[in-house]
Amino acid sequence: MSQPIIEARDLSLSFSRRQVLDGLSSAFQKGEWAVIAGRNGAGKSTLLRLLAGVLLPDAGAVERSLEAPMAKIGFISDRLSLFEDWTIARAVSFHCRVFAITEFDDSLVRRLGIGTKSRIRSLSAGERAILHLSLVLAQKPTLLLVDEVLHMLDPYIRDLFVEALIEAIAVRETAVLTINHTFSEIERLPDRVLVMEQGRFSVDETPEALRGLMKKVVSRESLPEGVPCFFRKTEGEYKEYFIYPFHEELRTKHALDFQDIALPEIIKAFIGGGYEQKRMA
Amino acid sequence: MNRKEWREVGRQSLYFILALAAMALLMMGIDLLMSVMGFAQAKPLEGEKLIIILGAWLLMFSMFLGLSPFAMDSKQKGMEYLLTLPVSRRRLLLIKLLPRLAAAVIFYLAFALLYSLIGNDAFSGGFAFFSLAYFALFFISFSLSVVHENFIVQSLWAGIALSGYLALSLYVVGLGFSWKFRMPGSWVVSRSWQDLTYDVPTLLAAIAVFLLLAAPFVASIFIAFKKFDLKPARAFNRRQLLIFVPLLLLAFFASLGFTYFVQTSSNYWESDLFILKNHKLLKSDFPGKLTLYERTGRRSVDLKGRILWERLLLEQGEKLYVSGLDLEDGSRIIGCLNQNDFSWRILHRISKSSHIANGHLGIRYDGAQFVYLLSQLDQSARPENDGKPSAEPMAMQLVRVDPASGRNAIFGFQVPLGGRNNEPWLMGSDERNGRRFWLVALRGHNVLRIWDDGRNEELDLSEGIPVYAGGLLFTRRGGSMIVNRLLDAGSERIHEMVGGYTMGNPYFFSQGNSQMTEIYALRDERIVRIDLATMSVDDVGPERGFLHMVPPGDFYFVEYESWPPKKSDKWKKLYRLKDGRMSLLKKFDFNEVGYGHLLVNANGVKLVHSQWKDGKVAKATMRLYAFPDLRELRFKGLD
Amino acid sequence: MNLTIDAKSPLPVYQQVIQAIKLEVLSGGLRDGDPLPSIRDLAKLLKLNPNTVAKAYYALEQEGFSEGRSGSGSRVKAPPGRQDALRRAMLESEWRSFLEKAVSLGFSLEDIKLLAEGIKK
Repeated sequence: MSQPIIEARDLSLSFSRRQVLDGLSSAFQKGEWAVIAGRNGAGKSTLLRLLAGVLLPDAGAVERSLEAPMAKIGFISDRLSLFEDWTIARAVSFHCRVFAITEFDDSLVRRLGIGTKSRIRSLSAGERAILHLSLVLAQKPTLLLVDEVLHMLDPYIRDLFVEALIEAIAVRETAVLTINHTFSEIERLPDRVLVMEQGRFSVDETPEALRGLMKKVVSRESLPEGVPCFFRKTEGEYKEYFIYPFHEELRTKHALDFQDIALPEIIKAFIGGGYEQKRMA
Repeated sequence: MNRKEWREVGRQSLYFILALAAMALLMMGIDLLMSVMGFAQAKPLEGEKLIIILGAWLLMFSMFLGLSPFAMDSKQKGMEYLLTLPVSRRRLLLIKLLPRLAAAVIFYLAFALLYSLIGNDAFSGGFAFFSLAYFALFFISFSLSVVHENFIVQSLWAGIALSGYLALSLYVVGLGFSWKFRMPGSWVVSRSWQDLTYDVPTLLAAIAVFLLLAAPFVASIFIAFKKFDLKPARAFNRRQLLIFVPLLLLAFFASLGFTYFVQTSSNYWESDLFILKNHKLLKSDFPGKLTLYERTGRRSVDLKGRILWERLLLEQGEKLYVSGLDLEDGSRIIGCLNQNDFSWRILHRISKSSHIANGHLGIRYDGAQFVYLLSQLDQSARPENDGKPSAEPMAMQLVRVDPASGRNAIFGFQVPLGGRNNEPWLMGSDERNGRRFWLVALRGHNVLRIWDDGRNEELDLSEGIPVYAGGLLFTRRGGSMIVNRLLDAGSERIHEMVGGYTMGNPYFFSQGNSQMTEIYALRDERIVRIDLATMSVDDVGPERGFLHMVPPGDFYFVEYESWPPKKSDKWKKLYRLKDGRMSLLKKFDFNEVGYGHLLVNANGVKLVHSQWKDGKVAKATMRLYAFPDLRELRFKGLD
Repeated sequence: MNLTIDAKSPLPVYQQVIQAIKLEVLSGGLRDGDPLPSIRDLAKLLKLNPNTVAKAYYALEQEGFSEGRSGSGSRVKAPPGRQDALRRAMLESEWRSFLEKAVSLGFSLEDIKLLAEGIKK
């Protein structure tokens, strides 16, 4: 295991009196695609900002390896922050100047037919995302931090976006951290899935491992003792039980039909469980 | 990246100038409109008004400049993008700060230039105050803009911080002074602030205070900068407070100490010098020091900063009687300093609530005791008219104080209420048949004679300033001077001199001088001599200066190089007037530009050379010359 | 090349990639010596993590189906002899799950044989 490209050590941050991050620790490797999921307000965007250096933690530290200095970190926030009044041409030339970029690949931008004289303010969300991506990719980043932007994009642009990310990993071993709610397109992409709950990561597994760790049981009766139910949903008479952590012995011990579930549903269950915990707290 | 910021600042400055121009045009337009329509007098845009308006705008602009760096960047979006750039936070802030600071400085200098051209006194207290407020506001706004988003909140905090800072600074200035000079702080601040220009040590101290007190703010700004980010932080987080508060306390005491040590003396409260007999000098130093200079050396008494010296009332043997203002309670005192043992005692005290007519100048020595008048009303309560007195009577008291014992006696009497600039005054005292009387004059009213048994009687009416000399009372009425001889009761008119005579002044108090044979007066721009026996009037010379009457009955004339006097005058001459002749005693040369005055008293001549500004003395130098040879009195240690 | 990845399948994605490539080789789409698509291209095409594709390619190489490092032109290695063994191996796992399902539905071996012949016709 080589040096992580970026590491979070005991990060804590609070807004007003709300503790958003509470001693969060994690590390990410080169070329890894990690997806961070969690309920709304769990602090995912905050974490990303901390990693990007846009926010400073109250306690703890973010350690960036030498391969990931500020200039090599690409951050796309969910606000798609750029100077609103500027034209695209100006934004590009400014970005290139500040990051010492000699060549700017405008293929993506051209593919959408965005004119360089348009103002950023007038762009649609998708166009802005692509522009942002282009800018960030021009930095030849070793770390890409992408907040929840995919849901704003139309399917075509979404594809472009994902392809660009894939290329970054393939060509440059960029580490990619994305925040995702919807998983349909990308469920087979991440190397690693992390779920944020109460200011920390409650889950940190590969998708395969996760699929093995959580199974679903649909039944009218309640579960027998010894079956770890993480989350439960009631649909009329039927109840959906999400079993976590699952192990194969349970299958032999109990005569229940443990169904395999796909990643999106697993994530949903984790989030649902998070809400439950919050309610009970 | 710098370019972006400079362009932005340039744009804002342009807006400001345009707005200002618009404002100015609007105001001129309104002025014009109003004059055309007949409202109000057509007042052109006066220099001072312009300065005030410009100043206010500049303050707003400074705040705006300070608040703008992060307000302009579409708040969060631009800021977030900025933070992703490979530029350290400190550098980012510097880039934001410098163009704005430069703009602030440029505008400030332009304003200072304009101010020096139009304003009356270029760098007085008001301007210093403005300058400090301007830059303080800028820095406070800037630091706040880093922290908050809401423009209104920022402005509020900026205003509060600025007010707090200025108030604290002023407080420290006042406190420092009050500590050094043992004076009530409020009295000090209200007076010193006006005259900061003229009082360099004070000015320096004030500047130091403002700068020192700004230090904790600036320091905490830099600390805050280190941690600034998107988070809408509380205005001061705990760490910042932990640094800010001690720094503030440190600055507070440092600046306090500084004002204490820098203030070795205050120019404003100048020292005064009095010529004593036998070529001695008495120097009175604010706030409470009296120093006696003589050939053998000097000695002083320090009353620990309680007395504001006014004047020397009497020199009697080894006793020196001085009047002054006791700053502890605002009362006026007559004190006695013994030249031999330097003991000091307060002979008499007049409380603040009692009003002495003509202030300390109204305390006279009539040959035996001190006398003064107490009036019921002080000047401010009097009506505006300084012409004729009203029929309304006013109760007054004549107070006598024995110099040896300090015992006093009071007589009450009534006098008509004079106007603001027309207070009754003691003009003379004499004895008749073993009884003492005093004469009280009020322009436009009969002269009053008050006997020592409390009786009083009215003598002749005087429209101008009456004179008592050689047992004769001279009153002016109409176009002539009436001469009255005082009798045991009342007076009788013995002579009338037609013509526009000017005689005497309210500061001259004649102490019963029946030995006087002549008096000198001014008539039709000539100096004339009036023989008191024959009443004959003889011409002496042209009126090119001032007549001085020195008790017990000597007359002097100070001739000016130009008449009316000019600032560029290089000399003044002192003549003795005796027996109808002017004899030159000494020519005094002036090297600096300004107005020089010669004050003559029984012991010698005091030459006061002062530079005036705004009706107040800015800088005064004094030289003293003692009779009879009028050689200059110089002592070691006295500049 | 027909490559559809079933995310819901219990089979890991990279296994599916391996299977797909093997199928392609068996059906003649990829011949001995042909270059494999670059990891980058395949990943973009399939919307897969390049690491996944890289894993598949690595496994393929381990099994002897390709040679040369990824990216700089892995080439298919499919000698004719191996293809039969491959064919059988690929079908075997399918057979197994099919048989399990048939038995659980109540079919006997005879029934299955008859069914198979019926379908073949």
